[in-house]
Amino acid sequence: MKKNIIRTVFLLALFSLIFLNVQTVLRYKWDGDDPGENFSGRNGAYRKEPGDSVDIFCVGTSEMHQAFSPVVAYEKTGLTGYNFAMQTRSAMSEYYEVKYALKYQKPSVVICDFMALFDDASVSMNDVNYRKTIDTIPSLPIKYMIARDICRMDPGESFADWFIPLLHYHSGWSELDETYFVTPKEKKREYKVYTKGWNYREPGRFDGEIIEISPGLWEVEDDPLPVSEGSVYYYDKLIRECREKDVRVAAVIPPKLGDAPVIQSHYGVFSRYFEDRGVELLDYDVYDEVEWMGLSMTSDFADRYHLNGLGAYKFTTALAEDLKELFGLEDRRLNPGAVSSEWDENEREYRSDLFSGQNTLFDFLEYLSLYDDMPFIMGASDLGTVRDERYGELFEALGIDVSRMSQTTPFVMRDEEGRISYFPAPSEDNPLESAYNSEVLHFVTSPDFDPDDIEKTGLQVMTFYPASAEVCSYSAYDKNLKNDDYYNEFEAVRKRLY
Amino acid sequence: MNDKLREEVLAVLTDLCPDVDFEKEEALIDDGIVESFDVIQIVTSLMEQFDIEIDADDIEPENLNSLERIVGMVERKLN
Amino acid sequence: MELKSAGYCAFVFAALLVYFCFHKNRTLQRNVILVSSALLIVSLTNVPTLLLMLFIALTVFILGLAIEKSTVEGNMKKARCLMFAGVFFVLGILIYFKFFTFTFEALRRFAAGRGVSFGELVFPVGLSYYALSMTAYLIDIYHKKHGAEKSFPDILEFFFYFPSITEGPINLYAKTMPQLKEAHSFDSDRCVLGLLRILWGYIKKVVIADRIGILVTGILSEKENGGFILFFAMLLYSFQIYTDFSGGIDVIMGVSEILGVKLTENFRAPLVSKSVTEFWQRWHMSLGEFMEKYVYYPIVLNKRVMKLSKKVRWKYLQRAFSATLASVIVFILVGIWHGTGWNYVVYGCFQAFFVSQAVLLAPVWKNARAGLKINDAGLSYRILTALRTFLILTFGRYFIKAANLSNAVEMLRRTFTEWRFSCLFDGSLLHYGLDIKNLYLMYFSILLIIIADILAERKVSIRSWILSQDRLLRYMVYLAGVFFVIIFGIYGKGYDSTTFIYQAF
Repeated sequence: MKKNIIRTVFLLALFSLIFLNVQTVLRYKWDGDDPGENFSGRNGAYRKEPGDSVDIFCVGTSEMHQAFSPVVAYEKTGLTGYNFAMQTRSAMSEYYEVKYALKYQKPSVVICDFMALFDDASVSMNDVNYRKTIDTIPSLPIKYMIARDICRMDPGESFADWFIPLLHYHSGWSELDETYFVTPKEKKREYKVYTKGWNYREPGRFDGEIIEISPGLWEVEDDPLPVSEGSVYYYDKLIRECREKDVRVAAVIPPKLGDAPVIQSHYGVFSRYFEDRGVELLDYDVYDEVEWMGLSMTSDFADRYHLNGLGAYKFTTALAEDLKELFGLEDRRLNPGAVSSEWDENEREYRSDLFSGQNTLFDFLEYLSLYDDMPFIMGASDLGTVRDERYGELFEALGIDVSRMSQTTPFVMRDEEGRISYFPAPSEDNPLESAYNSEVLHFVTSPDFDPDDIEKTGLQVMTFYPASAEVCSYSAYDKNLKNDDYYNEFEAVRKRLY
Repeated sequence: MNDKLREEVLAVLTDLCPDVDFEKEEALIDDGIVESFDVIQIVTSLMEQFDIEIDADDIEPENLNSLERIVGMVERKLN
Repeated sequence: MELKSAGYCAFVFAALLVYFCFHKNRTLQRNVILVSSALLIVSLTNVPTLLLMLFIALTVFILGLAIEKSTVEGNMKKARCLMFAGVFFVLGILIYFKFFTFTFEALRRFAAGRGVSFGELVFPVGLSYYALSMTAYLIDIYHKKHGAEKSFPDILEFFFYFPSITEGPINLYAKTMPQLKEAHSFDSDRCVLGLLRILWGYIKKVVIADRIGILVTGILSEKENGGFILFFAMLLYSFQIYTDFSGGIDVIMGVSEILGVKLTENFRAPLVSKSVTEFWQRWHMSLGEFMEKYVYYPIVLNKRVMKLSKKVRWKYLQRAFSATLASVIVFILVGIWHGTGWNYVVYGCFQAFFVSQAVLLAPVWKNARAGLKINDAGLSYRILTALRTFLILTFGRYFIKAANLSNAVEMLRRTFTEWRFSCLFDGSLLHYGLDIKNLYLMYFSILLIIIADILAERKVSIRSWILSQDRLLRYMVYLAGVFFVIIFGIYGKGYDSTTFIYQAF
């Protein structure tokens, strides 16, 4: 009898082992290649955060996912953050994301765009959203709660189907390919920690119809929909849960211009909902705010609703400042023990990635102009290019007088003090000679320089990062350049210049 | 057992189902060696031959599974 | 809780667990079965229906005792009356629920309109099966085959035995009740055998039947489909209905086997049937047994029928006449037992025709075979006749797949339009919900079923073979079987990976 029990247990253990492995292969992998869609990475990194290290915790829809950048918030205000928003719109998802997050951290404030307030929360309408939520939150008790909620909402749903992924995804066997075999571990390695969950969209790729930003954009169109009871139920739970844990909640409406009239028409109902619950409402989807932030459709938006990396920079700057003021939050950099050096590290990595991702001269210069304290050396071999009127404003913002860049002085440098100097072409006396002769600093030009055509040409800019004199190399052309080579070359140059 | 009876019964059976070895088989019904129509033929023939009455509830494996059992049933009906 | 759901598995597991806790106590085991049956019935229907079923069982129970008393007293006439009363009562309820529920519905609405509401009577689950069980029970008491059951809970256990309540088999008192009267202790070998059978049943039902079902439903739902593709769908339907029904039965038999009760088999490799007659001895055997015992033989050996048949010339034809008459009646009953509508009657007649012609023309066929020098024991003959039988039966199935008679005729007509065999190869089969991999899996599994039937016919027991292997291989087989069902089974909502391209809100 005893032997039988042992054998049965062994068999069950073997079964479970195989089951879990088959499940890992066949289940749908929500981990995407976009930085913000790498859930395994995000969750893994989140768990590793030391206690009490998150000030602003963000949940919400894809607009919030792309709008709020924790690393920018840190850079501007010294407030840390995390972005758990997702490309879904559902109150239940947002509630459970917060519930999961609060298990490990006690943020100072939770922000959410509460956009699902008017959405039908039924299972049939939100099938994919709920699936995504239950699959990506790595907590069994919470998965159980979600599955239980779903079965309560719709008795026709099967608990086993929701709680045990293999029972839902088993039919994937007929579509197996290599992507199925990518494990969460591999995805964790690919994850860029500095993003802190933020979904960064490269600027310069606007998709869709351009909207002109004017006050008329917000003219109210239709009657508002009623609030959805299902969504209210979960949002109320979210607010309550935060209150119980002494965490403040703020509603944030990011500038989703494409929906401006819709949001405006619901504004009354929206604001009443928050007033009744004592939740602050920060609305950035108004003309004044949009103008103040300096947003423009083509440069700051990925499409009519979502901000790109540049837009996120501007938006987060405004938001972080407002949150800091509103909730009296402290700049962690003032208190050296309050934050790990990781955040500073993050900033560097972020900028490095940021600049190397720029595909056009225009975007590149725009980004460069955001960092008004960053020294750089820039060289241009095609003067026709730099004098193109498209770039006029940008060079001005950088403090560069392009008329002073010539065949004889094609190099311009801005040092740590912000002083601009113009250098001649390489010669024996020229401190940049060694750099010029190296393979690294190689200018490819074409008379028909088309900034949008990254294949044909490139402009190299070397900057010195103030904190540690690390040299980062940014090239719109060749992303395979190694930092070390530059460092050596330009340390030499730098020493000679100063 | 009445040998003469046995012979007569055997004759009826082999006349109807020449391919079946009635002397050996022990599970004519259970193994499906005789089909339902064969059973009908056997039963009606036996009824005619021996002027006995056989009902539907007599059609059981106990009564028809082997030559011996069939003979036994006929004997019972005759008395 | 349908057979296929996780709920059913959990329910059975729990019932078995509790059952074997009382392994020395038969009464408690019986009570476990009664409670399980009650739970199952209520979950499939509702409480009023359970009460109705109890009422029917009680009536039969009382009548059984009364019939026995009359036979003991020698009052055969009274016994006969009681028996007929019981049979008419039970069959009457069956006929009512099959044909006349609309009057009850009308009555209910009428009452509801006047403020009186009574619970909805849902079709009492398994009525078609236990009605026949009850009928057989009463008739057998009258014929003194066995006595009446003295204990009401015991007879309830027999009538509403939870494994076979939904799909049969149709249990006979003499064979099944003695097993139920014993206490059963847990036997691990028996348990493994039962589990293997359950696994095989689920493979047939969940992996094979439901997969074929997707394609069949898809093809048949498009009204323009005709010719070969329609016929192909009906061929597949034959396999679907076999794997679905026999798979369900395998699960039932397996569960019962674990409990220690051996029920009567329903299938004996029907795919190898060489004639329609043989088919009905291999398909749904418990129904066949019932019909044979309580309809066929009684009719053939009925005095009046025998007198009538004497009017026919030729001795052979006399018997063939009564046999044919009985066959026709049996198969019409089989037809309408399956469903209501003229198409079911035609289905019955269709079967009756082929079975009867085999009897009536047997000498003719025999001479033909001798004349053509066909060896009827040869392999080629067996294969050809099996294929022929399969085709005939497929045509018969038009009448039960179609919604009604005119629909069936319409389908037949459409089948005999242009035949394009190319539909098998030009990818047109891929538009109905099965992609190419699933299609191949379907073909493979049909082959598997055919091989399984051939092996069963040759008395090769796969289960014994598995059990005779060493432990590691056995475990691998078990795990492979279970994962075969989990991965390739058709269940759950399923998902289409392309629909996961959601819109950003």
